[in-house]
Amino acid sequence: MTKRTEFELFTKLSIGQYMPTDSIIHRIDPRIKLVLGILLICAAVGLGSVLSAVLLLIAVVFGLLLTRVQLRLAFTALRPVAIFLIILALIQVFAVPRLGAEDEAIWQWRFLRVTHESITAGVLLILRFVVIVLGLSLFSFCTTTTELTHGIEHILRPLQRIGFPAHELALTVNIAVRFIPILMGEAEWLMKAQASRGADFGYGTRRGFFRRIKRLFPLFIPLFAQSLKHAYSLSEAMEARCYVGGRGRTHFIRLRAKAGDYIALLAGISVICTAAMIYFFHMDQLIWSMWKTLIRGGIH
Amino acid sequence: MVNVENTYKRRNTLMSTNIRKIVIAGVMGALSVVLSVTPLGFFPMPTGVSLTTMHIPVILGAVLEGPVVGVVIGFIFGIFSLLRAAIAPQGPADVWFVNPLVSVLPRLFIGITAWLAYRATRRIHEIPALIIAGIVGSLTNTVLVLGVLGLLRKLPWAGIFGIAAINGLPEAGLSAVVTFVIIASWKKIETRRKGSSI
Repeated sequence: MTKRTEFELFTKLSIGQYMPTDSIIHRIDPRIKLVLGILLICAAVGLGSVLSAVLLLIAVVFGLLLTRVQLRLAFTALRPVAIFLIILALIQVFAVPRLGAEDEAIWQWRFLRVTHESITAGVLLILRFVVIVLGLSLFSFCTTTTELTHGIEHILRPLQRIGFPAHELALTVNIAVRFIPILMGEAEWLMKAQASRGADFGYGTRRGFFRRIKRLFPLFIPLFAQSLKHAYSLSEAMEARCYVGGRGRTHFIRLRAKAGDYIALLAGISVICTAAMIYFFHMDQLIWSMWKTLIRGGIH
Repeated sequence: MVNVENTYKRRNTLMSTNIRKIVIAGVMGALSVVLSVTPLGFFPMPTGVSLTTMHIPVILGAVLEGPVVGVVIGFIFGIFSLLRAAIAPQGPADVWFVNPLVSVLPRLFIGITAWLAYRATRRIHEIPALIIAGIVGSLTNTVLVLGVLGLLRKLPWAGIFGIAAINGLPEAGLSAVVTFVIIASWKKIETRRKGSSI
């Protein structure tokens, strides 16, 4: 591997990549993948029960297995943050009891107290994070950006009747996605241009704070101005080609959900509903207490 | 053939500003993403914590094209900051940002408040209006993100006030300067200093 210079910005971009394995998951309608992805994130954030988080985790891992992408790839995103995650979870374990002090302590040493509630909070923190990261990798492995924009537009299309600009919003997302590499190249080009004029970007040791900020300005301001220029020339070009927005527009690609897509939707929603039911009806406490009586029964 | 006429009719009803709004929202959203994945978005500070600049495109979009554009750019910024925190986390704080309440919701308001501030003070003079819009937009980001973190009990309130003072105030100053410089040069507002326009 060649050594990276400070000018190469592209390598820093490590968003989840598309993996063209053409599995069952790849062929699911992008609308359904989008809906399920959003529901998954909401469920992972909103449901405060360990059992439902485990259920979601199992579902996501099952989905990853179905994509036939190496499971290792999905987990690599977790590696750099694993230590932080464990530290944060430990903080939760020791800090939560002070917020809700009624719970009985399992273990106590001076001011350190561990309760059921605090362990739950710590475990939940890790599980939530893992579920969301794996869910996002699953989505990015099997959805191209084109599919994503089509999906957004098709989902929002019913709202167009009440005046919601679905097509416009999808176009905005599309423009943003297309412009990221362009602006990235622009930034790199500007850095090289300024460096060739003898600019030093203040990577050195501490000097004056304002001086350092001043040094970054010749880079920063042209980047903003260039992107504004790009935006205005693009809008002029679109106008010159008689672009008139989404009303009355027909599409080259039409998304039609097939039976398999509905099955996938049903499966996803049933998993999320089960997880929600576990949380709202406190089924995990039931299972937990059953587990406790089982253990006690074993001891006595 | 029929379509041409229809298109022509529609063209008159739909103003061309609509296209400009869509494009500005997309490009500024992309700029915010680019800033957050390159060192350009992080101004190093003597305290060790970097000042972030990813919210500046939101303020610019809101001031130039109105609150809706600001909300859309803020949404792109928020979604990407969630994705970045989840896929390529760089520190312990990133774990908190894998929550749409922290990463997406507060960012929707940056554009609205910046636009309102700009709108309210524009009548007095253009230049202070731009500076105030920069400050208000940036402070909205700081206050709401930290406020949500405080409400979710991720951080103690004392720490939040510390971060707000150490990081939020310089960030507001920076965003005020950048907003002013860029929009003044873009709209070719006369300032007293004579120099090159970009």
